[in-house]
Amino acid sequence: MKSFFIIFILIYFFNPLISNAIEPEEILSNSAFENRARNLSKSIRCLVCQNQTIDDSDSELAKDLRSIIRTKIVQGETDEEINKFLVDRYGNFILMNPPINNQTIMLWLSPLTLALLGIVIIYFSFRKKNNDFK
Amino acid sequence: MINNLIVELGHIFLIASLTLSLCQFALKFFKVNEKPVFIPIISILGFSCTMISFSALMFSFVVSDFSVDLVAKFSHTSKPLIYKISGLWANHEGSLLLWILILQFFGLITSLIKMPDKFHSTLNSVQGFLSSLFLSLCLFSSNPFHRSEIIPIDGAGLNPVLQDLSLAVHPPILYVGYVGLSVAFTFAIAALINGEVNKQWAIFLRPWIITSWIALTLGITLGSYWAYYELGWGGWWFWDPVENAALMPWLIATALMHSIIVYEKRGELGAWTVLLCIMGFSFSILGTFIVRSGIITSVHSFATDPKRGLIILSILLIVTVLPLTIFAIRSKIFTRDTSINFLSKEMILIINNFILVISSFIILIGTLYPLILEIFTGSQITVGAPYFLTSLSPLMVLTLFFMGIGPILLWKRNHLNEILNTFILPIIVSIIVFILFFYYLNFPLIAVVGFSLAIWLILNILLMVYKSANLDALFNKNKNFKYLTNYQLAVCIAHLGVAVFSIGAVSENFFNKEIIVRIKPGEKIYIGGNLLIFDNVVQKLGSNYIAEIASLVYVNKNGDVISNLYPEKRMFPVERQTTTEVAIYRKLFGDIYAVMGDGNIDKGYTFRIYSKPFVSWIWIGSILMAIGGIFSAISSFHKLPFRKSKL
Amino acid sequence: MKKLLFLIPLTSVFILLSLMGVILLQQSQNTSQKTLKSTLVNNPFPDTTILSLSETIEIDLKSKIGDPFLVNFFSSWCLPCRIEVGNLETLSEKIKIIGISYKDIESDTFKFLQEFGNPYENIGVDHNGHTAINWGVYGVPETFLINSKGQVILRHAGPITENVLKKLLIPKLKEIGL
Repeated sequence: MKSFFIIFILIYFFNPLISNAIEPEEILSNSAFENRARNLSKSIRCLVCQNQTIDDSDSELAKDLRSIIRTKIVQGETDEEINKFLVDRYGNFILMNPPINNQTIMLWLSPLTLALLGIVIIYFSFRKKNNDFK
Repeated sequence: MINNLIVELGHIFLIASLTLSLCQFALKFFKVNEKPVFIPIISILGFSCTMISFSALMFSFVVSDFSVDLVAKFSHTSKPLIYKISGLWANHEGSLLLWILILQFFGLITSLIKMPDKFHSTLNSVQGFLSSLFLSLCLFSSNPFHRSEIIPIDGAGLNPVLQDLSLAVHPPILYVGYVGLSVAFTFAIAALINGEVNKQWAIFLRPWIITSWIALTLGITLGSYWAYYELGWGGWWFWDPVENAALMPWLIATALMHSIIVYEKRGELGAWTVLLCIMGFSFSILGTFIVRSGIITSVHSFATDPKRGLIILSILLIVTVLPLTIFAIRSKIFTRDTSINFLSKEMILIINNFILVISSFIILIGTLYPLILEIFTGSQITVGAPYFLTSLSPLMVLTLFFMGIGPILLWKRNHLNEILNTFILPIIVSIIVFILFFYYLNFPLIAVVGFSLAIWLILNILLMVYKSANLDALFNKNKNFKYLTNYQLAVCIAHLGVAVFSIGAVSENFFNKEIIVRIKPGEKIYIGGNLLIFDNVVQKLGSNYIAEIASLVYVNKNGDVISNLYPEKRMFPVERQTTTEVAIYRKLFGDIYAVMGDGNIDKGYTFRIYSKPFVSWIWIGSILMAIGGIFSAISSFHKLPFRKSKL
Repeated sequence: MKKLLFLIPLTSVFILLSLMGVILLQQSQNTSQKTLKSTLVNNPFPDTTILSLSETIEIDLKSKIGDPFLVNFFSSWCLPCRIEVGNLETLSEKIKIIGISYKDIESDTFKFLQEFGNPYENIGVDHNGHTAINWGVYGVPETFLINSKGQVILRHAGPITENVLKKLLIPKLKEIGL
């Protein structure tokens, strides 16, 4: 990741159009739409940043993606359709929250599995033993 | 040239230190342990050599000796002195040397404490082994005294985002925490090797765990606080792999702090405590591996290097597989002759441990899963904040609930009706609070749950104080007030810290208000029930940057000035980076947070202004936790006998 | 049972460390830099109709299907783009290259081409970056190889260096008969 990050730091340094996260001009006048746009943006990863969403990123790409999201919301697309649009082009990596599919099922089940495993271990460690060791 | 001499001396003394550590390790094999006098001597010598070496490196940084490769890469003559000094540990090689210094310092202290001879000599030997391991890593693969091939006229500078006081201090504090865990590790290994784990051992061990925990708490808090005021995103925790890498050892340290209490008081959880000592240290090294090997990159990344990663991975292998093998072999030494009642303090502490350790594994899985998935399937995914919050929230809820009950419950057994009598008042009040917040104030459900549980916890802390200080002596003339012991104070203050922290975290998450505008001088913003007026923008020259500073005046409804805020943008010509300096107006009940964007006088400037209620409670809560830790440390330290000069 | 419990930590650690070792080994063998994978590979390229650089005509990429071609996103303000022009010119002898000027000003693009070279058969413009987003582009330069059926068979993010030219592109071109 670091290598492509470096490349794009170079690129974005030379770009005179660097903006600063959400610009006032981007904000939609319809507040319901704007709320949806903000919530969606907070779930989309900025691809050229370190662990930021496009909602708080300064980069050009983030700004473009924010603008596309707003356009689509105004045109009446649903959140699922917008997410699909982005995933079709950039893959699941762009979603801050991984989807639930057979590749990520282990990830989503692991908390529960760990909890159950823990309970089992505690039970076996602490149950009364009839024939004891000293 | 004196500079040259000093660098060479630094290098030589580092080698001397390694030699001494190897001797320290070998002492055990030569029956010299029968004369305990050797133990402190070799520790003192080893530490002194490392100290000289460290000072030599520090000298090179302070005088900007660019013949040393490290100084050339991470420093610059124009940097303020404090950052020249902290530049030493802002990189892999220097921070490793700092780690070793602290490790040997702690080793020195343990050598001066009077402990049973057999244990003490094994302990010393294990510590020698660990020091040797890290000194070898340092000398053979990450030598801080490596010379530059070409001596530059000036250094490459330090990332301006890192030129900050909190961040300068953050690594040393965290390293005290990690090294503390390594001392706990050596205690566990020494006990396993000798085949003896007992309460005496726990008494000697506990101060180290608490010290480590306090340092980790403060270190993480400092890092988080820095992110809040420096990065300008308004956030304070991002579930970044490196943040997670520090959080996992903290969780293990917290679990360890609690399990060792069970062991000291009741002899239970001995094996588990030993295991946690090994795990705590393993997670620290794992954290190091994650940050420095290049498998994950983040804002914390030092220059990454797969070869270095392989070396750290090998170390991780040695310090986990070997001890765990010994642990499995020595399982016989852990016997249990009592059983644990379900309604007892022990059980609550076991539940606490269970929650903490599971949390750290969830974080581990979330952090490593994208990597592992990509290796095995080629798919790339992101595991971000939503995953961690979703999976950890239920555990946090349980934690807050049990934290209220635990301190009040008795050891061994409690009767169900006694319990209900004790807790009926807090339960009722908490439910009333819940109804109030949810139905009358219409707060979001999760926020209400969070607040109600925080209040539940506070009520139970008050209950504990009431009982422990015999406050019912107010009504009962036969009873006397009691002072709370250090230990009881520790529990109350630390748990209070958790409650305060929770209130802050929940408020910040749910009750933030954000305003984004482009305004010209003279224009106003309504926020926090008051007005923020944009005055003007000035330019200023700093020591190594050029700044644009906006002046915002915060006034109340009557026009009285409450405060002035000066958000800035800074341009660093050497490093060619621009940073924002956030302006924050802090009050106990909330912050006003102002970030300046681009623009000019004609078109106006962009500002992002936030009102963040109770956000300071996040840091205040964490500091309270640390203060609680200090009381706990005091109560555990005074049990330690220091070695008199009967050598 | 007790022995089994005591062995759990050891086995889990073993598994974990082996996994990490595998990760590291894979990474150190990986010659190409770590990049975001393209969703377009082995799929038809997205519908793209863009204005040409001279602003006189519209270019519909669908019309280019038939012979293989390269699509290269570039900008005058992008430093790595300068590095790859020479290698692109080498490639242009074997295969058509369509350039897409990303978020740039026409006069700057012309200056860039004059100063560093012009390997392109056609050049289109993408002022708002939306065409790039349709292609899953996240920075410049990025290059796509399209086969005679209109499918993307390769995507390279970053400049086409000597190494990339020799080890990635030329072999791939040979595969499709060029």
